[in-house]
This record gives sequence, structure tokens and C-alpha cells, in this order.
Amino acid sequence: MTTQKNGFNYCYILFALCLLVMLPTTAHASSLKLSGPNSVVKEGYFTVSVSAPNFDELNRVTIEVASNSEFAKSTRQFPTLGDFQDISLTGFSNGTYYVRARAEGPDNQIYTSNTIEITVEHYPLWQSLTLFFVGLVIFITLVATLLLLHRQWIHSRQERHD
Amino acid sequence: MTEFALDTSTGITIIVLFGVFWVAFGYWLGRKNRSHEDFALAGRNVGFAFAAATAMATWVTSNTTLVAPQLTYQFGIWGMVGYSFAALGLVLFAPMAKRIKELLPNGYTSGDFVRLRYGNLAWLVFIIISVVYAFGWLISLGMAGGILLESLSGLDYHIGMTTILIICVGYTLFGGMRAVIATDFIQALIIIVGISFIAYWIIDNVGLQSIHSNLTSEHPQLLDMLFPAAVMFLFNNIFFGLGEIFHSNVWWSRALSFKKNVAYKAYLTGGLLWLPIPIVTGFIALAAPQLGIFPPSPDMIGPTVAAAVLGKVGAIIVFIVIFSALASSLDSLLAATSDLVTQDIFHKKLKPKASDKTLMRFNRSCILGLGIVTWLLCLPRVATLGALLNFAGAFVASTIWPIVLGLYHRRLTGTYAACAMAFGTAFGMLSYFVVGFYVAALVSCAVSGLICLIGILRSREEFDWDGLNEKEQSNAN
Amino acid sequence: MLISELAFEWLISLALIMTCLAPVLLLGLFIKDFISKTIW
Repeated sequence: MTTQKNGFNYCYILFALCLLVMLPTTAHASSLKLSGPNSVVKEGYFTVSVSAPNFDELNRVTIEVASNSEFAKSTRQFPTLGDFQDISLTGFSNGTYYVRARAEGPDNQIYTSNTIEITVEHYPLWQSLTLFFVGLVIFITLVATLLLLHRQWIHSRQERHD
Repeated sequence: MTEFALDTSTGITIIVLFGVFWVAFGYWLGRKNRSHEDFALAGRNVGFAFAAATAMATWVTSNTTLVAPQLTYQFGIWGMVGYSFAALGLVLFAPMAKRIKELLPNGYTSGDFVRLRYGNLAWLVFIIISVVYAFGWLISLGMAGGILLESLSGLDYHIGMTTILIICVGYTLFGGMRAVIATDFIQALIIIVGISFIAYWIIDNVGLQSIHSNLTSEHPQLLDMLFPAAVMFLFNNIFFGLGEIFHSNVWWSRALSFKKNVAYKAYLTGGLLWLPIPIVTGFIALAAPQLGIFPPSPDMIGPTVAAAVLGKVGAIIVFIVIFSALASSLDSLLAATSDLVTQDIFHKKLKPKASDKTLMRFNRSCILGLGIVTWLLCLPRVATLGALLNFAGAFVASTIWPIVLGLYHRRLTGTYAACAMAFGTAFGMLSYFVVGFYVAALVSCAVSGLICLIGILRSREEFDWDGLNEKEQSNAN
Repeated sequence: MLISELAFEWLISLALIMTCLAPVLLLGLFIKDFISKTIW
């Protein structure tokens, strides 16, 4: 008796659990969310993160990057690694990029996330070259000072020994 | 479930085997230590082979194995070439090491020099900079250890970090400088062989041509010789590296522990041996896009690619290489910092009459103490890997000019040197917050250089070099 | 201005060769020091 009763309860609980698991899955899978940098990217690399309430069940999470919001042509795809939610992308030239995430659900259905817009605008070349040359001048001064002073010392030491 | 490249048990086995070996080796080497000079400076008699290897291995830190690929992944070709310019620090320190060895035949630390050359005020500023930097480096190494072991083998951060610290403190405690230098030699060999193997494997299997053509079509920015951000950071990074080497007791105590005519050629050779390493480790990152590997965070790119390409073997090699890189820097830093505390603070300020035995005992407790403090600071796992060290750029770059001029020029006085370091650091920090991290070391070096120039032009005093030879003075008294 | 394929190949190959020579050099120096008893 007891066994039967327990078995009956178990079925109910399992069913309820299934409902609990299934309901939010179907409701939230479409809420695959992508977030990225909020400001203009100055270095050409950025990290975006994918989130979804049922992230563990998703397969083949891929980030798509395109230069137009329709993802019509020249869309580049970047697979995420293992079950990491973040992906670090690099080597982008100046321009506006549209980025979204795609994933396969347990039922082989394809989910796509919101599209985010990322603007890449590298430091102006004049600014970086200015800093480069300022650095170069200080560096040359330093090396020249060091080598000259060292040579002077070596010479004076030799003279003393002579 | 995250799949790790390596089983946790394999990770633990490697660590335990290496740990037992290093500590036993340290103990064996430590038997020869008779005096504090033996313990702290390996008897001032280190030969060329060990000297060159230790200069190279200590400069190969977790940064070379992690940040060089990271910078390459972010800044492309300039990332790795720019990073390899850090070898300039070792190369330029070579003539200085010769001068240091001659000026301070009985000296112990960089703090010793600053105190004798510039007086107490400059010494105080210098010690603050040294301690901030040493702790920044120690913490970043300890944390890098924990984070890496965790990401490669799933070993808990706290266990990994604690184990690495215990091993390094262990053999440094037993063997002193001798253990540090001898382990550095073996670690240098392990690091070089490991990264060469991984790089060769990638070239053989992926091919340089296909990497180049993939990057040209998909990520051309990475091959750009005029990558703005990379060009902009270049000299800032160089000054950071120069500041680290010129001021830090890690490099001074090495120069002082080498045989008389070895210091110059050892640093030069060490620098030249180090030069190609960031290019080889960085190159690994350039293969990532071709292999379809895009890491969760850029600092994981090196280990991720190696583990993905070589599988378990790759993961084991990476694990051992990074473990060796961490240990070779951590031990040096522990030894050098405790020398600094023992010699400059305990011996010179608190107990001038301390016996040799007391000094040795204090030095040992200091290594242990530093290990414990580092461990406590690493526990919360707060900052990201590079954040602490970025900050330190403003500090160390301010010491470049005062150290160079202090070694060679009689006219720079203590007050100007102290001002140069203090204002250099202050302006460096200011620019860090106002402009960005890419100018911190540059501004710091420029401001401190300017103050030194004014100091030399205005000063009428001439320093007497004999004032540096403290032992003669105390004997005369 | 992109780095040419030839320069890229040379850069990486040269760095790898230099790195591979390092252990040979270090071991050679060690043996020399060992024979002449000047390790420490």
C-alpha cells in the first residue's frame, strides 16, 4: 500500500517538476540576451556576454557580427568556447558593428538574441604618433645619458689604472 | 559543467611532484649557506651560466606567458613586438650592474644604495615605491597562480594559490638565494622548451601562411603596423619595464650576487635570451582566430589555444610552464623583498649591531611573513590580473632617472632625487586617472627626469663615491 | 599598413629559432662553468 501511494505521489511530483522546468524554458529561451560595451571602443577589441535563464541547455552559442542591422551580408560568426557566457572578440577596424547571439535549444530550435550596436573608433593616428614620439625622445635621451656616463666612467677608470 | 583541459587529480599530482622536488632541492642547496651573505647573496660568487639564466627566468613572469598572448590577441603584431621590447630593461641594466658591483662591493640592496647616495628622505620615498611595487607584483603572481590552476584543472582557487605560495616560500626559506638562482636555471629551461614546443606544433599543424592569410581577410587590424592604441602604449610599456628593473632589489641583489666580471655579460645575455620569448608566446594567440578559438577573457588566450591544439599534452605543458614561470618570479621577489626589509629596515634602522646569525634568522622569518601577508591579500581575489600592475607603472617609472643619475652623476642631491620620485609618482597617478593608463609611466618618467635636470643644473655639491662603501666607514670608526 | 607575409614568417621563425638556441647556450655555459668549477 505504502509503496503504491508513494509511487502515485512520485508521479505527480515528477509531472509538476516537468511542468516547472518546461514552462520557463519555452518562455525564456527566446529571451536570449546579449550585452556588450556601453561606450565607443577605442582599441578594436571588446567582450560581449550572452545570458539566458536556461543557458545550460543551449548548444552552439555563436556570436554574429555584421556591418548592417539586417545581418544581410558579410556576417562573421564566432563560436563561444565550452559553456562560457563571455566571448572576447578582437581586431576590428573603425566602423559600426551589429552583434547578436544565436543558439540552438534542446529541441533544435534556433534562438536569436537582441542586436546590439558597437561603435569602434580607434585613437586618432596623430594622437598615438605624438605620444610615440614624445616617448621616443625621452627614451633616446635616457639611453644616450646612460651610455655616455658609463663610457666616461670606464675611461676615467682606465686612466686611473694607467 | 565546465570541462577542464586537465583532470584535477593530474593537476594536483604535477604540483605535488614539483613542490616536493623544489623544496628538497632548495634544502640540499641551503646546506652550503654559512653566513647571511651566503643566504642573501649566494656568497657573491654566482657564475655566468646561472647568472644569465636567472636574469632571463625571473623576467619571464606569469605576465610573459599570459599577458604577451593577451596583448597580441588585442593589439596584434605590435602587441608581441612591443612586449618583447621589455628586454631593453635587462639589456640597459647590464652596464649599470657592472657599475653597481664596483660601487658597492659590500652592498646588499637597492635601498642601501639610495640611503647612502641620497640620504633618508629619498630613501623613505624609495622604500614606499619599492614596497608598493613588490606587493603589487607578489599579489598578482599569487592570484595568477590560483586563477590559472583553477581554469586549467578545476582546482579550487584558494587551494591552488596556497599551494604555490607554500612551495615557493618553502624552498626560498631553506635555500636562500642559491635555491632561487638554481631553481631559476631549471625553470628557465622548462619554460623555453615548453613554449618552443607549443609554437612549433602550431606552425607545423596550422601553418604561418594560413594564419597570415586568415588574419589579413578576417582581422586585418591585428597585422596593422600603425595600430593606434598599440603605437601609443609602446613607450609607456618600455618605461614601465625599465622602472621595474632599475629600481627593484630583485635585480640589484642579483647584480651583487654575481661574480665580479659576470654581471654585465649576464644581464646582456639574459636580455637577448628573453627578447624572442614574448614573440613566441604571443604568436600562439594569433593562431586563435584561424582555429576558431575565441576566449571568454583575453588573458586566457594563451593557455586556451595550447590546450585546444595539443589536447591533454598541451594542457600539461602549459600547466608546467606557467607554474615554472610563476615560481621563478615569486621566489626571486620573496628573497629580494625580505633582503630589503632585513638589511634596510631591520639591520640599518632597528638593530645596527645585530649578529650575522640574527640577520639570517630575521631574513628567514621575513620570507615566511611576506608569504603569509601575500596569502592573506590574495584570499579575497579582488582585482583582475593586470590591474594591480598597471597602477604600479606610475610608481616605478619615477625612479628611472634618480637611479641612473645617482649611479653615475655626482651632482644630483637627495632632496631633488626625493622630489623627482615623489612628484613623478604623483603626476603619473594623476595622468593615470585623468588621461588613461597608457600615459602613467610616460608622464611619471618625464616629470621625474625634468626635476632631476633642474637638480643637476642648480646643485653645487659633488657627491663623494667613497661614501657608498659603508664597510670601510664602519671599520674606520 | 599591414605586415607582409614574408616579414611575418621571418619574424616568427627567427624568434622561434632564437628561443630554441637559448637552452643549448645555457646548458653549454653550465657545462663550461661546471668543468672550470665556477658555478658558484
